[in-house]
Amino acid sequence: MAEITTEEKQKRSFKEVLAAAFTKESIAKGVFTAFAAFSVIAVFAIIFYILYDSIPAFREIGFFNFLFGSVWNPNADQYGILPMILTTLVLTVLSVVVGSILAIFTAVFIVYYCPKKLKKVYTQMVNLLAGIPSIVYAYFGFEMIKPVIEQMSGRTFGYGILLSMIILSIMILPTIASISKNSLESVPAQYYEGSLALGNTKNQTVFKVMLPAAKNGILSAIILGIGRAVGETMAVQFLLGGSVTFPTDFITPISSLTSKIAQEFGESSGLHRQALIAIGFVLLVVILIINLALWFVKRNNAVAGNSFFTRKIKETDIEHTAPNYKRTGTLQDALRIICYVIAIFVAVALISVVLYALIIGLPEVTWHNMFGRSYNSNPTLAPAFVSTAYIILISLLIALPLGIGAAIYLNEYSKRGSKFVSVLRLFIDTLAGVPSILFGLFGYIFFVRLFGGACILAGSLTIVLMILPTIIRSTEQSLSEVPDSMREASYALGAGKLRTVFVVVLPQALPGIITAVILSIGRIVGESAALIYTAGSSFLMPNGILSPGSTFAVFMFNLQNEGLETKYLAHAAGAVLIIFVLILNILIMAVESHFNNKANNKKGAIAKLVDKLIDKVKHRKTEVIDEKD
Amino acid sequence: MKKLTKVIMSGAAVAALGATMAFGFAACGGDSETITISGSTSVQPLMQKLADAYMEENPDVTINVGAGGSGVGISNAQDGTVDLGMASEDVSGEEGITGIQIATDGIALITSASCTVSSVTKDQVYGLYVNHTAIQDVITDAISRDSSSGTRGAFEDIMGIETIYSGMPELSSQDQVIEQVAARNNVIGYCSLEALAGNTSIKGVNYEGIAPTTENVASGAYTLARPFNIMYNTANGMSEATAAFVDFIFSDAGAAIIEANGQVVVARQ
Repeated sequence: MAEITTEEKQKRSFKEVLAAAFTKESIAKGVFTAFAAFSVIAVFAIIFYILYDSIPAFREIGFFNFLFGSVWNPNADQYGILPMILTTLVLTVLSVVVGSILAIFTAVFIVYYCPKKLKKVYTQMVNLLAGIPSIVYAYFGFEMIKPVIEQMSGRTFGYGILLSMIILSIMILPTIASISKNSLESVPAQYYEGSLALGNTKNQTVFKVMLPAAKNGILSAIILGIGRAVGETMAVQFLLGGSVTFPTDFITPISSLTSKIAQEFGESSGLHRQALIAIGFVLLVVILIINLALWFVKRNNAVAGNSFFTRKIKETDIEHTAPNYKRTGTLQDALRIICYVIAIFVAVALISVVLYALIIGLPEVTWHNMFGRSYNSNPTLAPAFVSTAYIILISLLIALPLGIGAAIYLNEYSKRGSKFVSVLRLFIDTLAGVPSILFGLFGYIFFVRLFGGACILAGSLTIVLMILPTIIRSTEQSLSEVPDSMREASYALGAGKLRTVFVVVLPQALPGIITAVILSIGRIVGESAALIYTAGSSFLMPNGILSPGSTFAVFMFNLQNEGLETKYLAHAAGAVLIIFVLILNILIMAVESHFNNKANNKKGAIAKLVDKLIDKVKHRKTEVIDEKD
Repeated sequence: MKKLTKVIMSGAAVAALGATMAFGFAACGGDSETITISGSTSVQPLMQKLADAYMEENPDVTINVGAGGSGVGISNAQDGTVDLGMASEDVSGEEGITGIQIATDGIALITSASCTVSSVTKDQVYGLYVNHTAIQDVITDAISRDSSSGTRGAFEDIMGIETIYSGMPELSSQDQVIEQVAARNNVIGYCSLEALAGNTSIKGVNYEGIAPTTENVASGAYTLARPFNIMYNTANGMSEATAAFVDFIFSDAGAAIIEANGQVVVARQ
């Protein structure tokens, strides 16, 4: 084609440029990037809207009067939150200290001391308890622990920090324990063997070598626990007692930041409501700080994990080892015994929560209580089934494409280690760390106002934000486990990137996606704080997604709150919730074993070996998906 | 490969269909009349019973009775986001809404059934709630409601209380107060008069020598009482369905429900 002029050449190349810019591939990349960036937008939206709605309160009350005022009396327009800030602080510190000590010993027990036969059961039990809704723990504390405290202390009321602390530390225990367990398991075996080879006993090795080696992972577990304790709402609302005083006495009615929001938000208006949103903003700032801390710890963690071969032994370490050698033996042996005691205590505590809920709840699980027609003054749980199903369906419909798209971007398209990606990760982690009461406030400010009232759609959209990080993390995790050789093979056969992702990579990641779906369903079923102000708290059957509807946990919260006449139904709801969590846990196990078997059957001996290697890498990488309340 | 695209496509189609159906369902819901009511948690139990009875007679009407507190009831009625607001306080001074008093409700001071105190004075109650001074050396502690409760607002207004002593349980619902009071012999609390009926675990104590009964509230002898109001947006007026429901409240059937619930029936003004 010698006749083609230079002009024509230019024209064509311009067309080509245009065509190149709008290929399927580049559009797909744009879409995935947008999905990934959604988390960033969500975090900013939450910060912006909660701040925007708190500004009137800050202006009217005065920033310092608000933060450092000691009297909370909305009827006299006095809004000081210092006592609540201090209460949150004291309560968090106490329950995290107690909870982490129990959890770390539990993790050590599971990894090193648990008899092999028991190990699976014990691990499953801890997993199960991480999924139990806070509202179930709340009424266990209210009906079982509170009377005990009253009897032992001789006080009129057992409400207060002590009661909340006991329940809160049991609640955060499974989260901390399972993450600590993962980081203990990912300590290289050479450490263990090396220590034994040097003549240490098993107990010495566990407590002086393995535990310190896993300290970064354990630290991030504890920080996650702090986030949960600070953000926990519905349980402490029942247990604290509602008075606003300084935390000088551990057995006296008192309020924390979250409990005050939950207690008064629904029935507040005007400046009172704005002040409660402003409390939410203070809480948000605290949570953001905690998340940043977690981010820094994790970054350090990554460095430590990679450099274990080159890690230098500090001189101080050697100095300490020599004099410690003789007497440590007895100390570690004692720790081992403590380990057993705590493991048994934890098992008893956790099992009694489940058994209690089932024993008082199951007799109330009758056909009428479940599926009978529900009236305002004589409710049944039938509307809860429908509302919960609606919310699960709608929120998964939106969150799944968003989350999978974001995960595809993070794992397939982004340059690993780029700044943009680490910022994205920070925001996804932040979103995962936002307590549900703040999602509730945001949902109220944004979605409820948008739709002109609390409804199932508003609740579902709020839930989307909440489950998105879980879906992204779980999908990304399983995408990253797909070996690169599969992608390369696909490219070699002439497939484009998009086709490779959808046809080769994504099907391999199916187990992770299914696990994400099940985890999300678990969160939705147990969620109360994020839904009570966004999806409403109606006892009636919802007629459509624009009418209010209560999920199980919200139903239970309301029934528990109304008390007396409807308490039997709250117990029934508790039993149903426990059964749900049980079923979901079994499903997760089934999915895992199904896909493992499938993978194993297909592959030859070498592939199995590769799998084992991948498994090992996976263990090192495993980051437990944050279960925040 | 094509199979998977098909699966994804059909998945998307199903999803779209589901969404459309859900929206269609939502739209269908609009065919039957829906009345939304929100506000005072004290009025709520009565309103729920009225609504249930009305819905039984008129199956095509759905009445959603939400809580929220008197303040929310007033502001929602002002915004026009609900058909009716509920308030357990006087609303005559509020702008943009028209209030209708549907009943008068007494506030009962309650103790456990086995508590030895049977009569208290205003000064004693004030002393306990504000200064934590024991009543007749028996009742040493009190329980209040949280700050957004209409009952608490009315109770504190009538008693002239500005700040209660700190460390008193402030509970989120009337039933929680009753539950805690019933379990202890040295505690006093307050709740709507209707809660006394049929509850043997608690008793209402005489206030200034007058027994907490509906007759004494009606006659005006028992002074711990407040109005139950409903209100609608004056500019919007009431929808036909809402007006019909309000007429039902003032019918004989409505009055019977109000009476059975322990409130005093008032004439429509």
